Amino acid sequence: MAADILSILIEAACFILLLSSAVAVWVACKGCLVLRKLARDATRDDVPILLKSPRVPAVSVVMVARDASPRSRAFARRILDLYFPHHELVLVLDGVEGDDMDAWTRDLRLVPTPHSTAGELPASPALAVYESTDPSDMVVFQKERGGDADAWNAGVNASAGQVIAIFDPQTEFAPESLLRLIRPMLYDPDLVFAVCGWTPAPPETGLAGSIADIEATRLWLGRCAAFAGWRNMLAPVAGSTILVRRDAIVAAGGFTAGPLELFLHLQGRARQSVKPYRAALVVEPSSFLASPRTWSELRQWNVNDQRSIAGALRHRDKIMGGRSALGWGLPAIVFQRFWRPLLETATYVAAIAGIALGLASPLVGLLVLLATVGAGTLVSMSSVVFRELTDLQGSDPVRLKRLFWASITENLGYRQLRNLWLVGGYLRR
Amino acid sequence: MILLELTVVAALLGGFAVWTGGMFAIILLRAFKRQHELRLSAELQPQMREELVASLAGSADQTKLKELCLRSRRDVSEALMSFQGTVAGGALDRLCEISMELGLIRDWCADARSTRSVRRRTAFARLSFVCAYEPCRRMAGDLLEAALDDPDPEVRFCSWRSLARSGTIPEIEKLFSAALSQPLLIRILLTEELRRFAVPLCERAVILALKSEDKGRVLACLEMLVAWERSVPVPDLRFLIDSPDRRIRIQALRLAPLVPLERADLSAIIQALLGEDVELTTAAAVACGRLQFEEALPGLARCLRSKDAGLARAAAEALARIQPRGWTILREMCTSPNPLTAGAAAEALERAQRQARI
Repeated sequence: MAADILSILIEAACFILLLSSAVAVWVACKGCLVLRKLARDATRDDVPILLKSPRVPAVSVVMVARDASPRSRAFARRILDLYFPHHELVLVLDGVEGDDMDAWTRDLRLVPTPHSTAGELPASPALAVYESTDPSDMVVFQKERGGDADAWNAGVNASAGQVIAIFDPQTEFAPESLLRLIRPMLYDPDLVFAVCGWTPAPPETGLAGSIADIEATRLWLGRCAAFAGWRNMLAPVAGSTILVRRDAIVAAGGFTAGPLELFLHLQGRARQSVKPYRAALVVEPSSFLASPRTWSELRQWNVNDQRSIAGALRHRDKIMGGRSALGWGLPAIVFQRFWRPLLETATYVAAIAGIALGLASPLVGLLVLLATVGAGTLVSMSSVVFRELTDLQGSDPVRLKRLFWASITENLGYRQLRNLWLVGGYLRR
Repeated sequence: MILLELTVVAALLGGFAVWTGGMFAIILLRAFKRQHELRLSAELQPQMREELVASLAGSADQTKLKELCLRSRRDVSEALMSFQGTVAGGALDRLCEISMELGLIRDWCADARSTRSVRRRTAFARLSFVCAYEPCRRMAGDLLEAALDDPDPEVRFCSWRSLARSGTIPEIEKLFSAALSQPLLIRILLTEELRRFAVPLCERAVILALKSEDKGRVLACLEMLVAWERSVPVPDLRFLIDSPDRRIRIQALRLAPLVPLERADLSAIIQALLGEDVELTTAAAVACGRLQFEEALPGLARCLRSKDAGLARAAAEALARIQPRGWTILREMCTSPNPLTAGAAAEALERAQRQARI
């Protein structure tokens, strides 16, 4: 009796895993079609004309810093070096005092200014406001530490631009990225309330680098491209650059946590609106997160992604639509990133224990391998194929061959380890 | 039962594996082909550019260029197009002549009839560049003209761009009229192309557009005039400043500093400054500042006392531009009990004094 129940449970689990693999291939195929369409539409380079046009709306890049590390200061400098007709940096120094404040003052040549800190969104008042004596457009707010939402809202209050840009401090971005990101907003200014830009990083060598490349491919085709192809399902992934209309942020009541939660909230609001408001994806190179080179970096990359998803779900009561803010998108992400790895790991354990105790036939073990390793290999390979098809001309054959072998080896050990990382990362929050 | 399940799963996965393997082989072959093309481009393009530069400098010997063209026509096209934006006048004419002599125009015309959208768009982009030269235009025939109403917006845009480069004034007027109903992005791109026709367009087309019943067209026309950032003759701006549509009023106020104004226009700006709509009043304050309009000082001082931070800042900036009376008002306002007013005044005054010192 116990043997029968165990076999039925394992077979049911295998069926669910196979179904989820089929859905993953379908989503990747959809992503491929969306990316091909976007690539066909992006044949013209408008950057030089947009750069000198006064009709391009002003953009305020809001940055929150909690220290004065060289990395943070270099990031601020890189934002000031962006190419755009009119952009400003709104730097919120959240809880920065003493030596750290001195470092910022020296680095950016700050002088106090009587700039107003009042605004439409709830935020604690600034301790001091600074401007730079350099010929760069920037406002720097020093305030007591008040949490993520408070810092971001203070930044939006201080911004003068019609569009707010948020860069992930970990990202690499091109100086012309803002000019590329603004295009969908210019094409449809009434309906596009936000733009999200992300591209996979240039691949690193080595097995860890190749596997990271496949991971990025799956993310790119699924959560970026395919979700952008369905109505109001796009959400930024780690390393994305986001542009959001300032009036949309104000109308939504501002930040309740970080940028991801704001984006989900705006998507939730858009879903409930009668007007077809939408967020657009930009596929031209704008920003990317440096590709992991080692196993520990790869683990950290996976865990960070899990934490951001779990963090967003923790704030679901402040997001319009809650779990359904992206329709079936958010539950699908949670299933793919938490429940599927959990189920797969449990199936491995049950199959091994069942076979060892003589409760399950070795054929059940073979079914488990086909449903996990076999199907996983094919999903990875098809992702590589679909990504290659998004390139209208073809890419590097050496990289393709490397990815072909990596999509096999990925499923022989890494996949099982990754399941544990994903479950652990989600539960740890 | 388990055997049956295994067989079904293995068959499904096997079928998918065959498809994936086949697709993989195809994309691998395509990638090898692309790699070969890239290698060839890396070898040929520098030579082609060198030859093109020599031809533009006056060399009549095109033997090597023709040889290179035989090896890769695609690369010659790309090398030729890489001069876009860097050549003009006689050099541009020579470049267009070379493209005719090498038979590239015929290739592009054939590509323009392709069913593949990317190839078609590229062909139209190239034709729109070379059709600034009349003989090339004759060779392309009515291709670009027919594309003015093409269903593909990219192709349509290329033909508009071509028209803006080589069209007659009536054609430019028609283009301007068509541009007004396009999305903002396309309007921005065409604004740049049409900037050099600002004055001839203001003679008729602009006036007709501003008198249109369609508020969207009036607004788009005003936005284009503001974006030209050129002094343009637009009569009777006051009617637009007094328009019932606030978006038109705001754009008209932004245009005011670029237009020769009459007394009645200035009065309309002051009236706008005294209004209750914050965005409108802000635009009026900015206009007064740019016009250094002393009669607006009382209105600007009123705006500086506003509860809206943006309006107070704009009014303070405007006062800072009107020396010396504006500065006197700002100094008085620095001691205002309203922290917003005092802050905006101090900030603007400090910035103006800093700039004056520089």
